[in-house]
Amino acid sequence: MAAPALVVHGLKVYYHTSRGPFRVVDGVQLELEQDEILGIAGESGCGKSTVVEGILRLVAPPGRIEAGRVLLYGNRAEAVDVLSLAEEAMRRIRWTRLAYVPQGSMNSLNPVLRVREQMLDAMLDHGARSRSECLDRIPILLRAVGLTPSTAEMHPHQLSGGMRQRVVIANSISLNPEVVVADEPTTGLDVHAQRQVLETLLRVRREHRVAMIFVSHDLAVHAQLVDRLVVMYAGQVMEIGPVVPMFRDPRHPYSLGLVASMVRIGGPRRRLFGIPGLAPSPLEWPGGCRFHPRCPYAFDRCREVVPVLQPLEPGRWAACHLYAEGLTDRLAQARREMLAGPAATGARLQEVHAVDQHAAGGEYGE
Amino acid sequence: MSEAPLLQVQHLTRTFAGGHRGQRLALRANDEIDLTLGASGPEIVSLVGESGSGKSTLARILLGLDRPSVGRVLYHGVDVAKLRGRAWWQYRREVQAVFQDPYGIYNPFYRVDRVLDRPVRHFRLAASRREADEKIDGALRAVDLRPQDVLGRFPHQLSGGERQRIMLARLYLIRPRLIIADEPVSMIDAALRTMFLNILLDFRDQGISCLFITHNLQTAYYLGGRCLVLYRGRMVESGSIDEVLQEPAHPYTRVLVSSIPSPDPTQRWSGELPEAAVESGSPPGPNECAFAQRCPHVMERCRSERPSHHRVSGDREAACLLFEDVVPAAKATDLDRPKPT
Repeated sequence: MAAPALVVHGLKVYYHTSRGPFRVVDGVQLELEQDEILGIAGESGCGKSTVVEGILRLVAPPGRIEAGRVLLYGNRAEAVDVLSLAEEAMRRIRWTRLAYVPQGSMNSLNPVLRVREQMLDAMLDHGARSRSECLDRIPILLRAVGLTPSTAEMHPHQLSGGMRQRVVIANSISLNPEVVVADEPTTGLDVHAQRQVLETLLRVRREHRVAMIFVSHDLAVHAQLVDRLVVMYAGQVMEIGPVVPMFRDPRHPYSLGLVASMVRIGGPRRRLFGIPGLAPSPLEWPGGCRFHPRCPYAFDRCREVVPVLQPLEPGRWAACHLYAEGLTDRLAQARREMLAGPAATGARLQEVHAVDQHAAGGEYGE
Repeated sequence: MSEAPLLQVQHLTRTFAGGHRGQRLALRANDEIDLTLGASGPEIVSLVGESGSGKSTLARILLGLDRPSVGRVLYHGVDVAKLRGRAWWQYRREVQAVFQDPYGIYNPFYRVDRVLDRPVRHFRLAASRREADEKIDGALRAVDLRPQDVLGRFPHQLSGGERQRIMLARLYLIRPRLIIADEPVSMIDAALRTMFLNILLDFRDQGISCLFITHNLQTAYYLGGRCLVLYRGRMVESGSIDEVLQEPAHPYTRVLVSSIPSPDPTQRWSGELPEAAVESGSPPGPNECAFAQRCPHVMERCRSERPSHHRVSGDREAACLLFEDVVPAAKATDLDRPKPT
């Protein structure tokens, strides 16, 4: 088997505050294979953007990378550990081997410069030698993301959000990187612009043979784009697997909750269940399995022992004690119950409603 | 003769002056909008459209934060612009808002208690301090918040989801007749979003209608009810959300619906979306179809004639010449008047 494009081992990123360390990313491991698009999903605050910042070494104080290794193979046999590189060596890798499409990046373009100048700047700044070669390359890059070469003469305000996002993607592939990391590149776009950006990413992968890490909170977007999916919760990986079986048959109770919360247009209209409770604070993660306070199937062991990612079948991993204990029938039950979706909130509302008589025109007022 | 509908918008247009010294046309953010809400009992109506389609302008007008340039908004058959004194106070109580940004709507200098306490006082919802506290506690519990966790805290000490739920608790307290929700779930997580939408469904069952403004068609589908599609300030299609999303009629709605990502990885898009269908050009002229510049079915007439609303099927209408001959009886003149029930 060919070497992976990128490997992350035991990555920990903490934010140090006066209230103590926020353990935002707390021991993440994942492998990005050659030519694949790997999705990272999870609720906000689960650390998915911080993983990306860790991989690119963009964590800013008070954040700090505490531990871990990020091995970049790209298309070479030898890996470099991104986290142990000197700053100058890191600079040489960024953009030429490891490129980044940051969150909200359609708003990251300089409003007073034409697209051409910005693309040129990025290329020259990251080690491209010849100005004229870069200029020749700009129309090719713009076509690669489905834009006309005349876009180069425009200012950012003349472009729609989707077009600006595609300019940023063109920029990210300008120096033929081996790995591109995109953080929520479609968030905030209209649906058709979102579709175009996703199609652009697929085209870039096809034509430029790059491996991609794609972060999004939107599972439907992952369903359309990625090959494999990583589900994160509370700074850790809960489940990894190929996207099709993961959507059909999610193994971790948290992934199950996420998949069960999706709305299927044309599907039967029923109350969805969601995931009860709130995401915990990175200042004080729950002990044992971090999902246990919200997990309907938690048992004693979940409160005490931290589950590790373990292989369930080829390519599929989950961090859940239900498997180690052979309690998979509980999960089968979970699937049935979650997909049936009781109207929990509704029942509670009715209850409160019954107690609370609505008094109009009281005396307590201004 | 039945009662007047809860809310009626008649021929509403809102223009914003633009360009240099009249060189360019003013922007018509809302262009001859007609809609009726709550004609036969409480309902949820979703207003969908891309950014810049005029959704929020309409919301602002309905909330009384802005005035139409032309046209009227009727509440229980009475022109909102003419409401004064107690009637205006009543309107302000009965029509309440939830906005998109759970960060921007709080005054950072006040504790969150204030957004709950103020309406209790202003709308005189309680007879005593104790009753007020009880009501506030009950409202917080109704949206799954523990009063001791949130009361007495400042907005920045709460998460986005908690802040958005406090706004729902506020509505629970006020018990409006109509909620204008402008992209209320676009900044909160999937799990919380489900809960928020369920609360709106419960509210409907308790008699509270909602105009749900969104660019997310999945959430509109989840809520059910009717759906209105806005494009560049004009209403291009209306009907039940099931019909509109499963068999979109207007070419714009078709582009919109074809772009919804299916949550099934075995059903991926095949082929790319044509560029022309996506990028909007210059603002449409008053005498052309708003979608003419992007439409794959464009005809010569579309550029010289503003299409009226044609009935597609049942109560579904589309502002498109393609449906001109479907039911010849359904002409614009009929549609301008409220339909007999």
